[in-house]
Amino acid sequence: MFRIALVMLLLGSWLARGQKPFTRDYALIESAAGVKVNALAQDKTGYIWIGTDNGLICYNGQRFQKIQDSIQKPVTAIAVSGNNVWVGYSNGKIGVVTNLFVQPMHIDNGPSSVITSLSTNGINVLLASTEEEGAFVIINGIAARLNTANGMSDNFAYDLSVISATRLLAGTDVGINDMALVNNKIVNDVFTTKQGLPDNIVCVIRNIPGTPQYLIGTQEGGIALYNSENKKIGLPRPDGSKWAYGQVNDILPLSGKRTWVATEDGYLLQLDINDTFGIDVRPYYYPGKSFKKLLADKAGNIWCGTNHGLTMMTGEYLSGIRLGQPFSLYDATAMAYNDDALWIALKKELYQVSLKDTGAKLVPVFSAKATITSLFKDKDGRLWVGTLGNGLYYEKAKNKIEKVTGINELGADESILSIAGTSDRIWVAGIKGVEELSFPVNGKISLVKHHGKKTGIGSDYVYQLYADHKGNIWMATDGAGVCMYDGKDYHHWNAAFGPGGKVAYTITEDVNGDIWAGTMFKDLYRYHNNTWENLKRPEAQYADINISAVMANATGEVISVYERCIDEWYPQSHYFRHFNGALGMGIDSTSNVLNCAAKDGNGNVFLPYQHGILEFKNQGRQYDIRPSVHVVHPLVYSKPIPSGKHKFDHDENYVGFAFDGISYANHERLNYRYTLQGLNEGWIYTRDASVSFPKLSPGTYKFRVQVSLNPAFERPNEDDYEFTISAPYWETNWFYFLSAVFVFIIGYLYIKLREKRLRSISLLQQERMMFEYEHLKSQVNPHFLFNSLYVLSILIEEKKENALTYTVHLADLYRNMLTHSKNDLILLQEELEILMNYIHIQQTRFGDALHVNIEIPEDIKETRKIVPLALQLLVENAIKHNIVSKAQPLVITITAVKDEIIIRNFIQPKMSKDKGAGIGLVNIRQRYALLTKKPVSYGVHENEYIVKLPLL
Amino acid sequence: MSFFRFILYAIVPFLPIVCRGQSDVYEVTTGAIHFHSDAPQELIKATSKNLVGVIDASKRTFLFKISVASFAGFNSPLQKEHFNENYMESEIFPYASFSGKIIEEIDLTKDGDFNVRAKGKLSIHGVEHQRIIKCHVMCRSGTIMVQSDFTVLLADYNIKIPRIVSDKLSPEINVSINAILSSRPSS
Repeated sequence: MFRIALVMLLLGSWLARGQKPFTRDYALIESAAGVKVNALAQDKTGYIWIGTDNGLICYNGQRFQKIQDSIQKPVTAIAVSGNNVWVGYSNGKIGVVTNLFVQPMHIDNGPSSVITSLSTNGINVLLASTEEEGAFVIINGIAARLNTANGMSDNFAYDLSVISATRLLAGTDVGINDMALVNNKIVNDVFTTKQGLPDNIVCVIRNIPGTPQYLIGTQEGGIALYNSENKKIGLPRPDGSKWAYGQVNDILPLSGKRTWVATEDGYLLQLDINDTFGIDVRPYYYPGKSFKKLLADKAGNIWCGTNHGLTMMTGEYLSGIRLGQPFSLYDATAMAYNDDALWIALKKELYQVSLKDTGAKLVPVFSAKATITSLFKDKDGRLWVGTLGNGLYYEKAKNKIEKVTGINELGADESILSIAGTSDRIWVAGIKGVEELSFPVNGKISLVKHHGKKTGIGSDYVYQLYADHKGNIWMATDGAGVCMYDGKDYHHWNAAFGPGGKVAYTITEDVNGDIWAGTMFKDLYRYHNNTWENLKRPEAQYADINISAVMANATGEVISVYERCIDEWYPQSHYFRHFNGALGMGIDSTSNVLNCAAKDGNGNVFLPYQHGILEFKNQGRQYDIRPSVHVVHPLVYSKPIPSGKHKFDHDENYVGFAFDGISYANHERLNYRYTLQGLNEGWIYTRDASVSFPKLSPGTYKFRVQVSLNPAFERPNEDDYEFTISAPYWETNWFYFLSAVFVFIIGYLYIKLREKRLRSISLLQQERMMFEYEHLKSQVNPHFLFNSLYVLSILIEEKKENALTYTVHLADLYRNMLTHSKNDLILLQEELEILMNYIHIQQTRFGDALHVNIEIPEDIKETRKIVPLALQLLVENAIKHNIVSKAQPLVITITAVKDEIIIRNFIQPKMSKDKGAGIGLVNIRQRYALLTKKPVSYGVHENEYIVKLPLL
Repeated sequence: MSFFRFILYAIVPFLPIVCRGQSDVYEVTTGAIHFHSDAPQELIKATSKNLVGVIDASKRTFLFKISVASFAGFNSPLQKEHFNENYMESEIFPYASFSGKIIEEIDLTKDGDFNVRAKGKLSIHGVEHQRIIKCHVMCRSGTIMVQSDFTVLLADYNIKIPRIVSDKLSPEINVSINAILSSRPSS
């Protein structure tokens, strides 16, 4: 694990001079000497990338993560576009960061000496300057060289700056090269000392955003300006003094006129540049340090790469004046600003501190007889001093402070809590109400009006007075909350405040004209658009004391002061930046005396703290302290997997995410909340930076995570990660579809078959019932019965023994008919037996008039089947429809071939026919149709009636 | 056509322009390097007169070299042994050198006094660093006199000081160089 030794230094404690930004040092490696930082860049997500002699480091505001590489050389340059990071090394190699690893790029004709700068157009072009080979333009892995061979003045290039797609500037040992492509030729203008450059060694070229101007940093000649439009060199004014700060290593132009310069000799220079290149330089010296690179993050911190590591500098928002011992401003009781100096009251003593760089010392100016509670400088520059129990003083003449006397309402032992001023009035608040006084005229101060509990304030105890820009007097009272006097009426908003609203300690107006009031229970209210809104920091309940002061600077930030911490409201971010001892900058405590703060003419806010004075500065631009968050990589079964995988198998459904909060304001206060769209829609709040979702069912999900500096999640930044868990094949839609189709087909076929079978069965049964019915009917046809009985009676008379046989056959016939008529099929053999019984009966009746010839092979009889009673029916039909007599005997022939049985007889039509239902043949055909597809045929053929039945 | 694309296709196959100016080469005739380490407990000094080097006045380039083992004048022979064996490892890295160019556009063939910056690679103990070293140069009728003082941080050149001698050896060594160079007859 890459452990970071963190070293905090607060330099300059013995210097005791002027305002100086706070710094905090980070060694980056465990060695106390640290490691040299050569390059700094911030990507779109917010990570700060640090190129060191020991490789590449990624920083999120809390943790320094070493990025592994295979090149193993000092990182000397970094280029960032969006979230892509390119890294240049001291051996000329260039790599690109992929999944927290530097992947070396293969470059044809690429550099082999130290990369001094790297930049990109964000798409496909990389520009590199090198120590010995000039500049390189790298497109799609192929490098083109710009060096002395094609017109550059020198091959040692420190820095490149792109003006347009056809023009760039290079800083070299021999001046600036302004190279342009004109008519497919490189035209190079070289600017050296001969053209007015202060030095030939040009180390830095930086564009001033939004202008054609480029700031030039040189090795020993300081800075210059290059105008890319008219190609003129400009030198800063005031001129003449030799540059005393050493080699310029980096220039950081911020928007507005502010620029920071880093030098080799340990200076950070705050430059305020006006339109005519007049420069106001404020040097801040850090002995032993060599500043290499500068970076401004979104929150307004300036990061400095040094020879010993990384230094964070607060110069854009906070400075401090350190005062030597024995003074500690923890005991300060009142403050006011006066012309580049501050008046500070320490109990009874009044001091002045110069804000000029010449030295910050507490110079005693006045001794009061009681504790000084309030200081006010009126519009004429006069100082007013309020005391606790010893009345009001004022600066009658320069440095001559006298007591205000002669006003009955303002006694000699009056306790004053606050003083304010409008255009022609001085307002003095105490524990007996507010006195409205005239300005002194010929040394005479008179009371204009007394305001108090009875006149309409509602309380005589007023902690603070504030005169807003419209001339209204706002009062923070004990008992009546916030009260405003507009010259005529008193206004109260007691209903708008919470339970502590009856006690207001402090009140101010911000740059937008909104009023801010600190009340009991740490509530902080803002009066905006005619409504009071409580903006209390949610964690403020843990602060150990109530708000003691609230102050606003001229750029919108509002500072609320507690005993052990300070909050600074960033109106655009909607967050408080929190300052306390844990930040490691030595800001441990402030005065807990109410409203002990001052503001200079520009709006910078001054507060006392235990080592001196803090200056909360007007900010050059609207800095955004909102933290950002980045989903680093997914986890499957708690194991990290490379970012970029968005599809997971059904057995990888234990998905998690490691995310990372990025904050350079208060990383220690980060709160996260996340939701997994697709699983649940609610936010889950956490302070852990990873989460797992076990047993996710297949589907599409979107993991969203937001980050906030407090639990309120106002205007949060967010990152997300979409992914799908694929269903197993047995749960996919196509599988469902195919299965459904399959089941449907099976079911359909089954139902169809079953239906068909059921229908066949029911038809068969129906047919059979019909058949049986017809048949039985025909058999019990009285005609047949009469004939049979008649034959029997004759037989009994003539041949008794035959009668017996006849009766047996008749009985057999009926029994067989009953037995077999229920079956669908019977063996041909059995059918023939039935037939023989029938023929026997009929032959007994007709004698020789009926001949039935049966010629069927034995094997067919025993193997093949036939519809029962079919033969008997056909023979019966033949007898029924034909003449059967001795003269015309009826010959019925039954033969069988392999698959069919044929019944035929010569046609001898009867004159009178028995009535028949006529269903016999049809019945047979239908019964066959239910059993087989083989045809049943019947018809007349050459005097013969032929019926062919299939054998089954 | 963009600038970058143009460069890629038109300029890549350039031919190096080999420029051989006439010989304005000056060679060291007398040269010495002196260094001292100003530690709280001990002052260590040593000098070598074995400086060799050339300056090309037309190109304003130079090369100086010295044998590490040739330094003499230590407080004791043992100290010299330590210097060569433990710190400088002169058997592995026998020479220290400084080569590069003169930044200021001066004409060394004409008489005059100049304060110039010599920029180049300072190689000590096998480690090279880009350095800018300020020098005073006096040109007098065909000879060049060079004088310079500069410092060398031992840590920069991977020379490790044992903790036990940390107050006898300064981490920052002061070096001074004096050389007289004469014009070499043109060959």
